This record gives sequence, C-alpha cells and structure tokens, in this order.
Amino acid sequence: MKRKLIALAVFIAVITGVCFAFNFESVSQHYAEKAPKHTKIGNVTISIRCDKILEHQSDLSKSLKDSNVIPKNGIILQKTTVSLFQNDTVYDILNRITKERKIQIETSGAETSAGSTLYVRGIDYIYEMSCGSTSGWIYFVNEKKANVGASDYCPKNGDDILWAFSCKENDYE
Amino acid sequence: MNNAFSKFHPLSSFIYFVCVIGFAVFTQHPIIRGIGLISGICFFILLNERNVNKELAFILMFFFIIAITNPLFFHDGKTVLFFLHGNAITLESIIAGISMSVMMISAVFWLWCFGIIFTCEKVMYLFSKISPKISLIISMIMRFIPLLKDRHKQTQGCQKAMGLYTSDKLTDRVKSAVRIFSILVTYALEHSLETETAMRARGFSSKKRTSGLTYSFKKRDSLLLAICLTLSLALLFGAVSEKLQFYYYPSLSINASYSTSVMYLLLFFILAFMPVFIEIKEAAMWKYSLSKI
Repeated sequence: MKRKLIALAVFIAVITGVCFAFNFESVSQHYAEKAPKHTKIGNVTISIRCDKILEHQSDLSKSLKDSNVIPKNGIILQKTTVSLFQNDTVYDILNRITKERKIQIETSGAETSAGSTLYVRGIDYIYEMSCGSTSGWIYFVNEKKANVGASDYCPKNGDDILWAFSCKENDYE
Repeated sequence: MNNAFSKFHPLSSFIYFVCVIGFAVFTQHPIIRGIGLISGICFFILLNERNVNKELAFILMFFFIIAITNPLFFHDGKTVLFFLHGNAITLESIIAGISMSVMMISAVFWLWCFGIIFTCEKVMYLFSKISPKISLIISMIMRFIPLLKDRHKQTQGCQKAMGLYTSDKLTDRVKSAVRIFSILVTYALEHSLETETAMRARGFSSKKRTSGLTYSFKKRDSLLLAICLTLSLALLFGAVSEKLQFYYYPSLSINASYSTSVMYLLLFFILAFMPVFIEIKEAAMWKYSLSKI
C-alpha cells in the first residue's frame, strides 16, 4: 500500500514537472502576435518558393502529389517587405513571417546563436527529401548562398532573402 | 496441442504465417494493421496455450511509448492540436504513431501464435531437407531459452528448500541471484558439452538426417495453401497497383480514390481470420458430434 502511494506521488510529480517544464500553447496562442524584443533597424524583403518542384514532378513523393499542398505557380510567399529588428537572423525573420501568415514550418536542432545546429526541415508541409534524395530548403541573401546556418546569418537593412526548395544540387545558381 | 490449425501440414501453415505476417507488417494501411492485430489476438486467445498476463503490461507500455514518441518527433501534418515548445503536435502524427504500435503488437501476437503452432519437430521437418544443421541449431536455440528459464526456477526452488536465502533482505536476494546465475552458466556449458557428445554417439552428421515425424499432405492442406496463395497474390497485386497505399502526412489520405481498397481490405480480413474460422468450425463440429452420442 505504502509503496503504491509513493509510486503514485512520484508519477503525479513527474506529470506536473513535465507540464511546467514544457511550454504548452494552443493554436491561437502560438499564432498570436508577440511584441518584438528589440528595436527596429530597417526593412528586408523575403520570399518562399518551391518552383523547382514543378520541373521535377517525377521525383515528387506520392503523398505530396495527392494532397495538393504544392502551389500551382510554385510560390508559397510572394516577395514581402518585413521589418528587421536588432540581432535578427534569417531564421528569426522566416519564423516571424510564417507565424504571421500561418505557414507550417518544422526545424530541428538548437536555435542558440553562434555555431548553432538549426536546420529547416520543412516549410508548408514540403519536407526535405520529398522531391528526390538531394532536395531540401536552402536560403539566399541577395541571390547569394550563405556559408552559415540560417540562425547564424544576420542580414542588413534592405537585404533580399529567398527561401527556396532545391531539388538537385545547384538548382538555383 | 488441441487446436485444429496445428494439424495442418507444416508447409502450408508456414506459408500461411509468412503471408499474413508479411502483409500485416509491410503495409502502411491502418485498417490492415488493425485487422492484423485483432485477428492475431483472437487466434492467440483461441489457441489458449500461453499465459501472458505478465507480458501484457509490458506490451501495453510498449504501445503507449511508441504512440507518444511519434508525435514528439514528427511535427508534420495539417491538423494541429497544440504546440509544445513551439513544435506542432498534430493529429496525423499521433495516428501514425498509434498505427505503428498496432503493427508492432500485431507482429508480436502473430509470432506468439507461430511459436505455438510451429514446434521444433515442424521446424526440423520443414527445413531439414534444405539445411539440416542450421535447422537443428535454430530449433535448439529456440528450445534453449525456455529450458534455461525452467532450470532457473528449479535452482531457485532448490536453494529455497535447502533453507538458503529465505529472508527478504536485499543483500540476500542479490547474493542468491548471483549464485543462481553462476549455477546456470555452469549448467549451460556442461549441458552443451553433454549434448555434443550425445549427438556424436548417436551418429549426428554421419548421414543425411531424417525426421522422426512425418506429415502427409492432405486435401485440406492443399486447400489452405491454394486459398492463402490466391488471396496473397490478389493482395500483392493491390499493393503493387498502389491500392493499399496510405499516407499519414501532410493529411490522412482518406478520399474517393482510396475507396476501391475496400475490396482488398476484405481479402485481407478473410486471410487473417482464416485460422479463427477454422478453430471455431472445428470446435462447433466437436460439440455437435458430442451431442449426437
């Protein structure tokens, strides 16, 4: 009896601990606008495209083909002007605009600055390797590929960011 | 062994098991996995050979762990339930997790049934012509673990009866466990050496091996084999023509083009529930003939 009570207490403690340690949010809470932490230092433009998929339809995974998530013109987000805050990285900007437009996004790895391992696995239900084994999301700043991860690159005022779904190597060169 | 299905010829029942387990494990369709699980459990209950109350808790835990971990690691899917640490927990990934655990547990149940039906003699009978040594080793290994378990129980009982380690203290329990383990290891080594000598003495590997039991291939065996192979071929055709495909991401693929798969689901239902029907039919016949006396 005593043992069972102790086990129950431990179980409840673990559950409450998990509830406090993890940050639960409802869908509306997640998409609600949050006040920016830093001051605004300018504007950048951002666009999200997957038009290379239209050229490689045969490689596209069947689940995506059937579910009509690929836009007809291959543009998920038209070129949009967004504000740039201090210490913003390319990932911060992507995260903010996808939240605002309610575009699905999944990342893996830690987001902390300097040598982070953040990797964007999928945007708008289009995931890495869903259009051939070499496909995935890459980003360009002023039409140039950057050599660092998206949460390490801090763009300047007036930069143009493009997130593109590349199917083959050097698709967008 | 008082069940109808184990009276079939080893070849036809082996092919039957391979087909059912293959389809239940390698198709993505949740309904096929569900049918596989339910039929496996029904068959297992009808066989009524093993007491699995202890394993059942482990299986349930296994089920929940897989069902919970999938949504924690896969955030794909259109129906978002809530966000955890900024990651979406979606209905699709929860369903995919449950479906995966259903598949694994159905495989466990079907393999238990396989273990009950497929005794060592049947393994020997079926594979001794292809590779006598490997089949003997496999059947010996399959025998070895239950043998060791029994031996463990015996040793423990012996030690208790001798009055050793009867207190409930932790140190005593650990001591007895270590001692019994060493006894078991010694026993296993000695046993394998003895087996080897005994096998040599009886002329193992001097001539081609024959099986002690013979099974004749009767009409009903060929009937079972024919039904099983036709259903499997039809299902295979369905799988190749993508009728049995099912996608969980980004949204569950339940739409008009998949309604044709109902026929294939029915075929799998017949295939998976065949032993259950056979068992029930035999039991009913037994009852009926008893009532006539």
